[in-house]
Amino acid sequence: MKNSFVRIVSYLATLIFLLHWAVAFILAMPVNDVKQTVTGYLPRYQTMFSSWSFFTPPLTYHNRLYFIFRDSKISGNKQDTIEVLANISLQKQIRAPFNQRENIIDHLVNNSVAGLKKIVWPYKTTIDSLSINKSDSLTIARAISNVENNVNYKRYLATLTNYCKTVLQEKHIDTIGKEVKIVIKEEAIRPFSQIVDASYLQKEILVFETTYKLINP
Amino acid sequence: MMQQQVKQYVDRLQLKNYKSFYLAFLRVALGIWLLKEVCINWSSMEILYGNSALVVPGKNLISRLPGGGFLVVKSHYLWFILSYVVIIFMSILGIGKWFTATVLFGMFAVLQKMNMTMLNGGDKMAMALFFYLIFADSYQYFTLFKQKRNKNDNYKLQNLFSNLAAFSIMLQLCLAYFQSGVLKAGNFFWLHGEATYYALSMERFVGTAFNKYIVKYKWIDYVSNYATLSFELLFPFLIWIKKIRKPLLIIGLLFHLCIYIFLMIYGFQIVFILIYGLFLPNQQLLDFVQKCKTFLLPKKIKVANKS
Repeated sequence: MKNSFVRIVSYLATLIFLLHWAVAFILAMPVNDVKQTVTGYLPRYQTMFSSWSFFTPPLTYHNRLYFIFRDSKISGNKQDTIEVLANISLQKQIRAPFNQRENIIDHLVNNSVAGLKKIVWPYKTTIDSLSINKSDSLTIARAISNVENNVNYKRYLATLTNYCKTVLQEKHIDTIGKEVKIVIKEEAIRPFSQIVDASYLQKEILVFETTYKLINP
Repeated sequence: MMQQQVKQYVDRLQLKNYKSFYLAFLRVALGIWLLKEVCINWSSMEILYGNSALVVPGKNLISRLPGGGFLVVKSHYLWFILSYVVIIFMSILGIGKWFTATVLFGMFAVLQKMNMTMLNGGDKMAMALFFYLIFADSYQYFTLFKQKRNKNDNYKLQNLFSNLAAFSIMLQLCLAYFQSGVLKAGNFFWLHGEATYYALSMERFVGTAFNKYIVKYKWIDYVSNYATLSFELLFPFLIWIKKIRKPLLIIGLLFHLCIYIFLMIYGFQIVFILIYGLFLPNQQLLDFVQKCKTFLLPKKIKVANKS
């Protein structure tokens, strides 16, 4: 009795093992009909076992995150700007390899920036696919209005607003009565073909901007 | 005929735990890696998991639990982390075995879900490893309490589960490399030899002051690009050939070391390298440990042998 039980469990375990790996390999393949059908039945399976890309595609730009803030009560509205991502990267480089805190901030902020961009521009993958008219503030405002009720959009924006409060606190800037505008730009990395081209000009392209909002409403 | 062949395979899997030593080593090493992560993240725990956490977590299975799920953990995050540390120690010492392995997997998953934006490939791989280790018998070495092993039917099942789990971990590594290689092979930058130039130029990943000089040499960019592509595509196939295995593992070690140094991606590399030992035979590892013992403690062993 016990022997047959062991045999049944053994065969069952082997079968589950084979099925698991068959599904994992199907999900690891480039897009095809079978993969799409399997993903439909097991949506979480791919995230856990079969989604490995490692720098594919490599990013061809640096993200730049600007917090532009002003005092809502003062007339004339003098603006101050803080760019944060370049500074985070610099701090991370300086403290390497003991840069875990900087690494954490880098991941939290950068991934929220990337998430936000992905929601607003779902089809944009590289800086080149962003045509000039898309960088126009009006076009961006229109794109944002389509997604501003999206739960993840709100989540990423809230994360960046939280970080803005932290930055202002670190710089001993009072947040009461302050309004902030979040701006994301992409700064292209010098193209491979122009590695030693002295005439190359680095450019920044606007990809996201909010309107001014009170930091502590 | 086929039925008999399947039976033969199953019988072989039941015969013994082919990776008993390294599975135990992996359990302990991953436990130490988790402790290291807790230690270096200690000053940032409030930002990561506390009530003043920067990241606003998304909706998932845990957030739908009664009491808000995350809210409960967030309010008592220090208690959660402390019990997590206790479970890690229990896992390292082999206390609680499968129960501890399951709880550890669960707690690791909760911490990942609380901060999805922090995850990298290493965390994802570690998640898969902890899942497979639930089924593995990694308690034949490095445990606080030794247990008598009866060669009964349960022993056969334990061996089978353990071997399938060990094989799954090896396949998981192969799958990660292969899928990444296939994606790279279909990407313009990787195909044209430009991808490592962009990866090494990204401010976020500039690990050394040399990065900006290295990338200026196009031949270095081409070599590193196509070497990465070839390694990821070929590793899953060549690793099963005995003669090539060791050189390939050394190449892999260097590959991850370069990512560690030049791209500042740390924990990721450790998890991947830890899996490499599973590709080596159990006896070879045991012989190596014996040699190390003889080298480090020669007198003690001689006395033990005499007695």
